[in-house]
Amino acid sequence: MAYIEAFAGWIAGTPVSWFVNGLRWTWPVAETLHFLGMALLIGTVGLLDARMLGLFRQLPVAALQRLAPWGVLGFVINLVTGFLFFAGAPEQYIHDSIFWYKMLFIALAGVNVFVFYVSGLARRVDRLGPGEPTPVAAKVVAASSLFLWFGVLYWGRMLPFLGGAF
Amino acid sequence: MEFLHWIEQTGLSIWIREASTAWAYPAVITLHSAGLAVLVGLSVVIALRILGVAPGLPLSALEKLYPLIWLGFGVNAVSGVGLIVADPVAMLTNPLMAIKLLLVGAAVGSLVLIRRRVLRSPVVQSDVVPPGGKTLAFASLALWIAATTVGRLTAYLGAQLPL
Repeated sequence: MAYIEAFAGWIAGTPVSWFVNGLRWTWPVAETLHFLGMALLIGTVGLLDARMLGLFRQLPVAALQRLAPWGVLGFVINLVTGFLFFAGAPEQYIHDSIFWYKMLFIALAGVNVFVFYVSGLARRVDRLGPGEPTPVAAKVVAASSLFLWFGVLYWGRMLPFLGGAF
Repeated sequence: MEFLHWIEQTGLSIWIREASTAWAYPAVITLHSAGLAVLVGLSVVIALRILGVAPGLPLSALEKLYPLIWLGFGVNAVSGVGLIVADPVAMLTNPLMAIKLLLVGAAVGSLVLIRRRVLRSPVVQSDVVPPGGKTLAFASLALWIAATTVGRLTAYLGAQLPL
């Protein structure tokens, strides 16, 4: 924790922190982008997950997987804007358990994605023909993905309410 | 104004705003975010496809997404009413709220037009986008981004509740 505290202290003194706190519109713009990035991520990844769980069978899984880079774009937008929020008030976030739950869920979602690709499950699912059922492992990954990403959304939304934020 | 103050005093409004079970307002606002993710997210997917992303997705199959999109819209309409009821004076005297609702209306209109004019067009069977389709897709994208942006900004320019 001492290292995290030190990091927070250091960040609070950087130009990034000033950019967030010193300018009136940085936060609102960043937050708007954060919501849009979230919609992009959940729209693309969530749709792929829904398909793997058996909905929208007319949509070929392989084609939906081509949407994944846009989901990554959404994630990157949120990583950057998220870092801006953090830099604006690092002390507040590192002492907020809700923030850490959100980070945990993001990490778990990342592990889920990693497993999906590294285990070869992504390739297997890519080759599914129309109407072919998805393997159980893929359904587990898809259900976990939906749970984790909506969980991230929930923890994020709860920051001002359950944690010590703001 | 009298009417808005009256709403503020109703049981429902007080419950959402101040429920000692701290979950009422957070639940409503979480639902609003989740509904947005589905509504805007899927609308963006449809627009992206029409604009050429993921060409393996049959255009004719995109119509199947609409029930889920309308569900997202429904969740946001209901939770939106909940958010307004919780703080009617601030919400309904904020001009940005009117602009947001107009943008949402226009964005929903773009979805309906896309369904009728693009996704149900006969040329779509050969995965061809009918003329005007790409323009509609761009417009839909722009409208959803605008609606989300203005929606977020109402929290900064007018409302008195926590962000």
